[in-house]
Amino acid sequence: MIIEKIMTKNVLTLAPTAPFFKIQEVFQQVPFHHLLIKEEDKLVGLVSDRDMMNQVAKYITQHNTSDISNFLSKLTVADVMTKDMIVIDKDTAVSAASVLLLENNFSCLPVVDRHQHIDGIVTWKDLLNYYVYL
Amino acid sequence: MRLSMTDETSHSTTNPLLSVLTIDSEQGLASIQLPENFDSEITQETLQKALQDANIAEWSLNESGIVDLIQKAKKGLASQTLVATRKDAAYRIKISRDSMTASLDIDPQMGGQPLDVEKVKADLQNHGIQQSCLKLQVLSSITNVTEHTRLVVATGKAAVAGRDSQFIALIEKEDEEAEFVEDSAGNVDFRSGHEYITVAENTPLLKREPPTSGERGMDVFGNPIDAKPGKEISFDGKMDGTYANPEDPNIILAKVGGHPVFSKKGVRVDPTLKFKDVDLSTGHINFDGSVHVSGDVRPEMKIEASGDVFIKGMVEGATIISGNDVNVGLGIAGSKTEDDEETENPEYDCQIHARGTVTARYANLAHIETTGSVHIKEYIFNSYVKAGSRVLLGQQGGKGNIVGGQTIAGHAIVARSLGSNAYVKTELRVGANNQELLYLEELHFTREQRLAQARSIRALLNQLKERSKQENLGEMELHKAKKMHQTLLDIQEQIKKIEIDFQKITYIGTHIDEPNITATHHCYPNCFVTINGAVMKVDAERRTSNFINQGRKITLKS
Repeated sequence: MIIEKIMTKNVLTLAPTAPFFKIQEVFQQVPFHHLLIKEEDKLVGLVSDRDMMNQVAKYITQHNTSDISNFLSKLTVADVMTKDMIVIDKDTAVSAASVLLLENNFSCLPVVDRHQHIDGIVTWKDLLNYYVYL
Repeated sequence: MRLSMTDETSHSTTNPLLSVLTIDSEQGLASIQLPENFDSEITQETLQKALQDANIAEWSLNESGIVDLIQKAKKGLASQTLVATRKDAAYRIKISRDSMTASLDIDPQMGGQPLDVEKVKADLQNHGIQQSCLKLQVLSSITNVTEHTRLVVATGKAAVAGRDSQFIALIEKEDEEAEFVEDSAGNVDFRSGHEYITVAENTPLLKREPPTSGERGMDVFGNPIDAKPGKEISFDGKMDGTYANPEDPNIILAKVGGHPVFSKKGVRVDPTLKFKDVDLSTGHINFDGSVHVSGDVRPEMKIEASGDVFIKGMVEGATIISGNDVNVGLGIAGSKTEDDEETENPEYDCQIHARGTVTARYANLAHIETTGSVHIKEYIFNSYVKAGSRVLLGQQGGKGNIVGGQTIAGHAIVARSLGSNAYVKTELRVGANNQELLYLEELHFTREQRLAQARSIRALLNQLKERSKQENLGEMELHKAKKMHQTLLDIQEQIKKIEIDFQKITYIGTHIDEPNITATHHCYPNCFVTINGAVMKVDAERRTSNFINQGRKITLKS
């Protein structure tokens, strides 16, 4: 079984220049935990709701919390996204993707083609769904 | 700026600057001592003239000092400024990274001494450069250098890689051109040209020459450079009908009488089926061996053989399928099976399919396909010809003309002329087409992905292995290791499949010279030349033309 059969194809993306608050807005509206960051139609990064919370927590421990809104308003997606990520292609075997996800403590793997265009995303939920029901 | 030199301090009333110019011949310094409110104008030109008059025009100018001098003179200030110095020629020895060349970076003399060839030679040798590596002619020219130059003055000797095992046929093969004999009436039997070869038992057929070790090289310091030895290549695994000479296993002999069929690394002896003509009386032929037809193969007949198919006459509207070579003494001719005005890729009733070399005198309205090469003597007219390696026309005499149709080769198409003066549309393609190139890119990407995944999983497995050396792993972890190992094996299988797919497309990579389409005499307009996806339409008549793909564009090789 290949990843293409179980991955989520309908993926939400943001531009790296989008403001930090946009991430917050999106996560409040959708049940996803990951957003893929796209620039000129290519995958350039990944943001999870955890990344977002970590950024806020980092500020709180180091600074005066009354200034937090001002600080966050200056941040962009590029400031919080993960750039260094493992990606897979849509023909990757589910078994290989499972091992990579589990052993590297990732919660998702972006799926891209040879031009780094986004084909989809596979999360631990997609894999669990597969192993339980398929 | 270079000015002539003298070793005297000169003063002349004709050039006022000379009165303030002081030359120290011993130190090789020229300076201007300017009094306050010096009444003569000082410019670059007047200074240059002064130095010229003093015969030190060749000396090296102190540009910044001169600018400063001129400014001070304009302000009427006194100054003492060094304006020129005498310089001897100088050099620096540079050794290339691989120690295969030694160069001299030379600054030429400016009024001073030129380089002393013998001293430079001695210096090079003191640096460890071997005498035998010195380029004496270049060294002798270092005294004539007039501007900053880098000269290679010593070169090492590159190692020569050894030659791999070679396989040499010990008997003449059918593709050798034979002489036609004219009878007393002036008639020539073209069918007499080619002879079908059969061998008797115990005939030596093939010799394997061992690989050579190559020649050692040497860098400029005399350090030896090992040569890459040639590879030992074994004979093909299966060589039916042959045996190795017990006294010299590098020689293969015929075990039975029959027709020798040569491959790149071997030979086998096929039983041969012989016919005068292949027609309704013989029926279709399907034979495990080689087939010899001394006459023609008639329309709608079919020959299928695992070995060579040798036809002395013509193949007309028939199908020949061979496991090795197809050799047709006369022509291959057919007709289109569909209305040619409607079909982009017409089908032909005459089909030749082979895995070795296809040789014929001419081809007209035929479909010829082989993984090897196609050799045609006179012409290919309005045919579909596809060769895994090369399509060659007229290379050993003959008109060598391709007109119309589609001719495709893995590596090269070489003909005497391409197209015709009637501007018939002629399509010629070498290398992969756009679809194949895209597919190759996909394969590359997928291979890289699988390799990265394999590396990742192997690293995880190694970590588990290391842990198992220090502590006992639990059942869960053992199970995990087993699962990871299986996943790794699956990925390795996928990589193997990708490599096989690669080889199907990348037959173009087997030759040393670049893919090309060549007309040795003439190329006519309306020829469409495609090399690795780049296309060009020939618009003008040309003479010798050698088309290559340079930077994704078709250009003519000069």
